[in-house]
Amino acid sequence: MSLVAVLHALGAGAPLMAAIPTPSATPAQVNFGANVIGFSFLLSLLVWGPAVMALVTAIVPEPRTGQRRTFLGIAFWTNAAALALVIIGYSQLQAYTSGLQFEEKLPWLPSLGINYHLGVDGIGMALLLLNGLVGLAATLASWDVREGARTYFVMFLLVQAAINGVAVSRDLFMLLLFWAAATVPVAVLTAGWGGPRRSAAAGRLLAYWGLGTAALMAGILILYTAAGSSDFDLDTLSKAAPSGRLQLIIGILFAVAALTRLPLVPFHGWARELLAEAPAGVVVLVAGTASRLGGYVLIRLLAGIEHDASRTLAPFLGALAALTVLYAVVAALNTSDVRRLAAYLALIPGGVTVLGVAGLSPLSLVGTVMLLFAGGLAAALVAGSAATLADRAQARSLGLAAGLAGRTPKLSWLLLVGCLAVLGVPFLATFPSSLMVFLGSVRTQPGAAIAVLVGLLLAAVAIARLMHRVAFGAPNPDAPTPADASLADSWYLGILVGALLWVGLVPSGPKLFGIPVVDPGLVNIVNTTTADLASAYAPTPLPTPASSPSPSASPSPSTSPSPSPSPSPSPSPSPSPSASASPARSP
Amino acid sequence: MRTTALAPEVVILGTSLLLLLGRRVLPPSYRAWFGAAALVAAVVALGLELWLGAAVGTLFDGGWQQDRFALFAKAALLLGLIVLIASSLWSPSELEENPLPAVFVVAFGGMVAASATSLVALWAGLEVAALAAIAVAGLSAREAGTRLLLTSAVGAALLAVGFAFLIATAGDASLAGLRTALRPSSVNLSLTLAVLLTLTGVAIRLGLAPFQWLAVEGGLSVTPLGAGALGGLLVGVAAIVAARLLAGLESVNMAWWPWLAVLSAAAMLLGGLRAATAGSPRAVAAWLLVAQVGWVSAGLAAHDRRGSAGALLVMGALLLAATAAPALARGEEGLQLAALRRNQPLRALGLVVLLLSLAGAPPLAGFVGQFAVAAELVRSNLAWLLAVGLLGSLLSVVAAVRVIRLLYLETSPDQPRTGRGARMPERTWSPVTLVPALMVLLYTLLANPISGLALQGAAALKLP
Repeated sequence: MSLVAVLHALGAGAPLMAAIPTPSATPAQVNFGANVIGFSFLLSLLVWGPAVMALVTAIVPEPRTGQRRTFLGIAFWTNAAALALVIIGYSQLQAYTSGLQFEEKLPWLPSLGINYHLGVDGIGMALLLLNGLVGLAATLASWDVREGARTYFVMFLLVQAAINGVAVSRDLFMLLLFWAAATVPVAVLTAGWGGPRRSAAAGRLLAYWGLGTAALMAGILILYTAAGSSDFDLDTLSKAAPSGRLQLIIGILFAVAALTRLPLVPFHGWARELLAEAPAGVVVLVAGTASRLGGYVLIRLLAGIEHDASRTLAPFLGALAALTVLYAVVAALNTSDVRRLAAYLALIPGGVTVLGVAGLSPLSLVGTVMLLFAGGLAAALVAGSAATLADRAQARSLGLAAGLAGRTPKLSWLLLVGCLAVLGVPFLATFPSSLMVFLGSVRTQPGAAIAVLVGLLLAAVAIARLMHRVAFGAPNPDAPTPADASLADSWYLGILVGALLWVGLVPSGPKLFGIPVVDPGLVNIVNTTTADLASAYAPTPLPTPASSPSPSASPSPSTSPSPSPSPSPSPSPSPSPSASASPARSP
Repeated sequence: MRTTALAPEVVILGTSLLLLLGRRVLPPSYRAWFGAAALVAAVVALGLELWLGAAVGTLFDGGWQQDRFALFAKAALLLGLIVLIASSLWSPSELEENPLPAVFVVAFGGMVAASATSLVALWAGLEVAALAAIAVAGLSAREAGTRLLLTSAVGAALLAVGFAFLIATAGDASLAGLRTALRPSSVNLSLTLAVLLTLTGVAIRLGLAPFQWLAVEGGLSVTPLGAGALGGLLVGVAAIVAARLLAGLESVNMAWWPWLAVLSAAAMLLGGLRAATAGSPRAVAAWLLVAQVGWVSAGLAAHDRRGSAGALLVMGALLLAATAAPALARGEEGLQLAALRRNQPLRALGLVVLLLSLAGAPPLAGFVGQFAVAAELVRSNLAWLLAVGLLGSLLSVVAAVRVIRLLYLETSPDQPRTGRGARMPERTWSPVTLVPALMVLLYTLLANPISGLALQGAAALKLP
């Protein structure tokens, strides 16, 4: 059976192009275990579970000499349990329902208008899933941490709690709280276990993330004041309609907050240092999820609330995205440090993500959300594998860490996969995501889209140079003897590669005779939420007779296992405007 | 209103007298119990305050009042007092000079100020508290005490002159009379000068930059207990006086809020900057205090109910953290800090929590209060002040991370190297050292009722 036939059977569609989902809010029913298991506190468990385990790690007695991996074990099982919970939540999430799910709402500080409001939709679930996978991988990447393991894993679990908190917060105070709460632990992790320039890296991180936090706080407070709201609830504040000038100020503040975290030029200084200096586990966690929070805020707060400001800022965001990709490539071509090179390459998914937001079309926004997930995996893979390779080769210079493919085959090939994922090659999750971003933004931001595309082509040159020197070049006889990936390294990189491949091959989940099995499909999960969000940016539909059915609402006779759409047995209600009229739907 | 409402004040003043007499009457073997007895008395006073203080009314023909503001302020002061006494319990040597009676007098002065209805009572409460705090500090460091007394005298003089001008202008010493007599139209140069003199006097007591001598330089040159009294309790009393006074001057807010906003900005920025470059955790704590006092006064500068509520919320967090931080930090620095984590892990953890709260790091008590102030600054069109405050907070967090790094990430020597340099902290797992941190966490967890009470307290000030 050919590969294409296998893909077809799995539901990916014969031609890969057909696998590109179209944003649609069509409420087709997916017969995949929705709400079989009910949770009223799933999200609280995901947020506070790691925090409580961090406390447990902080206070458990010092283990005996023979049990030096006690703290690692706590972190690992916490992450494994969290991932299991996320997978259950993911499989129970009702696809094609744009409302909040697993919602929890309690008054917390009513006198200040602050509620303990958690909830998740498709976008949040993608981020939770990403954090679950990356968290487990990062724990395994921290296998060799022995000095100060207690403090390391306390900080590590706190970062994960904060990331989950951002993903599920529906109250902007809580979002800010969790957003800021990750800063100190990441700085401590970098300052404590990083390379020779760790102090500078931690200092830069504090400065940039602090600036981002200040900008986010200012933006939230201005929005809150402009809305005349009595609370910080996202649902309330999203209905506010500040004046154009105020909206622009809020938009700029949200953009600055997001771009410092993602990061984009000119707010990228911390990433260059941190990804090149921090230990592999921290690199994976930061590149994989902590930095993706920037994209999340950009989608949720800028594109999701401030529509006019988004339109005004879109050209600037597009330009910054292009600048970031081009800068990353040029810098990667000019460095001789393998970790720095990977750090620059890890900036690229962030640039493409922002291009998607700048595109402001339904397709590009779906691609952006997908790329939050896929880009996080790719950035974690490339930066993590480079960090591990440099550790194992005991060298960071391209002159010394050369010709390793024969001696460290696993690490060399995994680094190559990471590089290819950054480029967005077919069969990896970044491919459909990036393609959606490009196709969705080429009409609205053609200059930026083409510049990013050129940047990716140049990135291929940088990657070829990297692989030529590091993997396939002539070994340096003066270099220390390298070691290949350990079992823990193989597992953590394997998890990242596996997730990239899974979503790349079956973005809408595998189907057996048209029925989803095992996985409801990430695209389906994010599609409806994003389509709702994108409806504000959809072109005005052409007037049609009231009686004529909208194209996407009609039962599709197609037998093609197209991911998003709707082989609905009954005529479904009219979908959101984005779904009915977007010209970008059929790329 | 029944005079039983004065029970907390009676307990505090009575305990002070008993502790003073006890030292003369009782044999030395009993003195070891003074600290515990003082702690029990403070807890009883707090309980009485929460129980009896809920009733609103006046005594002494309106010369003393109990309202929600007084309730919040006194409860916060008594909590600070409890933390300060608890922190002194793990260093009995500090109690040899018998400073506890004076510590109780500081709290008593604050309680007088909290219930004051006139400028005279405000002044009396603040000066009693200031003199007692300087006495606590000076008991163990006479030279420093003398310098502090001189600084304090300047503040007292400014306040006295300012109050005298205000009374002369308004023709009434009561705060209600001040509010009635002064109108926006009565703002002129002489009134502005009088208000600025008064405010500068309060700023000296508050430790607002650039007048932070009492809180920082004073605090660093005396014992941890003295520093806690100066930088924690006295600053709390000054904040209470400032809130009451500025509420009385609300109708002429144009005369003072710009000056207060500038002072707040200077405090937040200078405090953050100096904390980020300070050498020892104790100095870091002292400068973080200055930055957080800046947030208190920024809330007051917003001159409305929500701003003052935010200021009260920050003040409560500050009282808890600032009173105990010097005792936890002590004089340790460098290698001693690295050993502290190993030998006294609970103390190290407690210190980190207190410093993070003082820095306003989320999700601790300081952050919740600062967020409330920040929301009000935006609403009051004081975005520039918020920007400065955020910068100061950023620097403060950098300072706290520096201490965390010294504590947890530096290699600690296995054995204390006595006689060959710094003395290493003794090995202990005393859970008492974690009490202040637990109080801060409790304050965070109970932020809902506390913020509600702060809002009621601000409402009692009759602010718009």
